[in-house]
Amino acid sequence: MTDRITGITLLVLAAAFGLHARSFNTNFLTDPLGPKAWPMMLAGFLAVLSIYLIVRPQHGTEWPNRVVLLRQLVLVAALVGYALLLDPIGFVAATVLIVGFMAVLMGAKWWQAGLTGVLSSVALYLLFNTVLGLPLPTGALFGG
Amino acid sequence: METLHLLGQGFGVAFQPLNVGLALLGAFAGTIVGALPGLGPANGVAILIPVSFTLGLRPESALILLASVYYGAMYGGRISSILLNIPGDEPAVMTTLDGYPMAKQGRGGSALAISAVASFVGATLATVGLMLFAPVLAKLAIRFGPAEYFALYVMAFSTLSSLTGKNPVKTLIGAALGLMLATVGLDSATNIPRYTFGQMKFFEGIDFIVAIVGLFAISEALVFLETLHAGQFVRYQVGRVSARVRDIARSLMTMVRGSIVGFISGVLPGAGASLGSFVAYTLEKRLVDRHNTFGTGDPRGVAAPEAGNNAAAGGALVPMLTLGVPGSGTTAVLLAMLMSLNITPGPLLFTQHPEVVWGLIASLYFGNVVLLVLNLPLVGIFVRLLSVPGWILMPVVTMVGFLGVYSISHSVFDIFLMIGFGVGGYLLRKLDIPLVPVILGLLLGDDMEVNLRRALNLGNGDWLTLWHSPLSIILWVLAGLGLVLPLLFLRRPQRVADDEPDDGPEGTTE
Repeated sequence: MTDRITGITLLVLAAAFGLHARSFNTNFLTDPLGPKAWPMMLAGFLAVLSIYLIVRPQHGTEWPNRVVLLRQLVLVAALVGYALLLDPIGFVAATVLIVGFMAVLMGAKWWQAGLTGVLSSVALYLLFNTVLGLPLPTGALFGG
Repeated sequence: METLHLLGQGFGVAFQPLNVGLALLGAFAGTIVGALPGLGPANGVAILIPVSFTLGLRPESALILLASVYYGAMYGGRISSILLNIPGDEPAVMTTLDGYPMAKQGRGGSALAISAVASFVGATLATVGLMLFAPVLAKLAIRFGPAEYFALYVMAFSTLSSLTGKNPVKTLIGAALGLMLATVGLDSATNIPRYTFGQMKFFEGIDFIVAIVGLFAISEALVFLETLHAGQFVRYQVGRVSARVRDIARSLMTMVRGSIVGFISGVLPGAGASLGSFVAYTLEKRLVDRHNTFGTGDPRGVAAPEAGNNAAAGGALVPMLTLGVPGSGTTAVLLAMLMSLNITPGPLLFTQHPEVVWGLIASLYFGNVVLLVLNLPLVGIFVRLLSVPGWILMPVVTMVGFLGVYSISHSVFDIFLMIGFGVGGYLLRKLDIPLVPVILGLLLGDDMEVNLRRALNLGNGDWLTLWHSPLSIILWVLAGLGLVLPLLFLRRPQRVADDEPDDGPEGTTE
C-alpha cells in the first residue's frame, strides 16, 4: 500500500514538475533543446517509474508507532527551534539545550543529558570558535 | 618511469607537515566513524566536509583529509561487525559471517588482527591499481565529447540501479529525484530561473553540502529514534590482538584474490564496496572452503570480504577522479567536496592539478601504513568506543553536521533546508528508495543536461548524434547491459543480516 501511495505522490510531483517547465520561455534560442526540454524529460522519466510502482507495488513499509513518530516530530521541531534560537541566545546556551534535549529523547537520564549538553557544547565551542577560528554567535542576550 | 616520477612529486605533497597531520587525523577519525555502529563512511565524510571548508584547506589537503577518513572508516567498519555482529555499514555485513563466530569462540583478537592485515592488503593493492589505471583511463577520457559524457552518465545510473539496492525501480526513482533537484536554479545557458519559486537563495542551485548533511546526518538521527536498541552498546573486552602467523599466511592468497575482485567491483560506477566484499567472500567460499568451515569462524572468511571492501574503496576513486563519475556513495560525497572547491574531476584533473591526484595517491600509501598501526596495536582504543552510549553519540554527531553547514553560510535558511532534506531523506529510507542515487543525480544533473544540450547543439538538433561515435555506442551498450545483465544473472544477496536491526542506512552503502 505504501508503494502505491508513493507512486501516486510521485506521479503528481512529476506532472507538476513537467507542467511548470512549460513556463520556461526564452526570447532567444540558444540551443535546440532550450531550458524546458530536460526538466520535461525528467518528469516523463519519473512518471513512468511511478506508474510502474503503482501497478507493481512491493511490500509495505513498517511505519514507526505513535510514540516514536511523536518523538521524531518533536526532534524536528527542536532542531527548527535551535536554528531560530541560535542568534538570540547564542551558540553555547542553545547547544546545551538541544544536545541535552536530544539525549533525553534518545533515552538518557536527566543528569546524563545535562552533563552531555554542557560538555559537548563547550567542547564544540572551543573546537569551532577557538581552534578553527570560526565565529559562532554569542547571543544578543549576552551582548553578542 | 613517468609514474614513479609523478609519485615522487606526490610524496612531496603528502609529506608536507600539514598533510601528514591531516592524514593521521583523518585515519583516526575515520576508524572511529567506521567502528561506531550505524555510522558509515559516507556519513562520516559528509559530516566532516564542512569542517574541512572552515579550515580553509587547499583542495589537495582537503581531499587527503577526507580520503583518509574514507579509508579509515573502511578499516573501522569491521570492528563492530566482528565484536558485536553489528555492521557499521553494508559492506561490513559480510565480515560478520565469520568474524562474529570467531569472536564468540574467544578468537576476536585474532579476527581483528587478520582483518586489519586483510584491509591493509586490499587497500594497498587498490592504491597500486588506482595509480596504474587511473592515468590510462584519464588519457582515454580526454577523447570524450558531450555525447560520450551523456552516455557515460546514463551508464552510471543504469549500473547503479542494477547493482545496489533491492529494487532497481526505486533506485531509478532516487536518481530521477536527484536529477530534478539539480535543475533548481538559474539555467546555465539562458539564465532563466527554474523551480526557484522566487527565492533568491535558490538561484545558485541547491548546495550539495547542505543536501548531503541533511540526507545522511539528520535522517540518521530520526532513524536512530526508531531503533534505540537498548543494551547494544556493551562493554567489550578483547584479548591480545594478534594472530598466528600461520593463519595470516594461509589467508594471504585469499586476501590477494579478494583485493583484485574488490578493486574491479569498485571501479564499476555505482557498484562500490558492498559488491566487492560480497563477491570476494563468495568467490573464496567456492575456491577454498573444502571442509565447510566458512560461516563458522574461518579466518579466511574474515580476510576475503575485508580485502574486498577496502580494495573496492580504492577502486571507486578511479572513475571519480578520471571521469567525474563516482563509484560509490562516499566517492559521491568526495566529488561534491571537490566541486565545491571549484575543482572538476575528470581527465583534465591529471594535467591541470597533478598535485591533487598524486598527492592523494601518495598519502593513501602513507595512510594505509598509519591505519595498519592504528588497527593492530592500538585497536583497543576503538573497541572501547563501542561502549559509548547512543544518546551521547547521536546528538554530538548531529551537532557537528549542523555546525558545519552553519559555518559555511551563516544562514538560517540553509539550516532549514538541511532539516527539510533530513526529513525527506528519512522518508526515502523508509520507502526503500536509496539515497546514493539521489546524491549522484544532484551532483551530476547539471553536467548531464549541459552535455546533452551541447551534443544536440553540435548535431544541429539531431538525436542520432548521441550515437555518433563508436565510443558513445560502446557506452550505450554498456549502459544497456548494466541494466539488463544483472537482472538475469547476478542475483544480489538478500541482505545477509535481514534479521538484524537495519543499522546501516541504504544510503551509506559504503
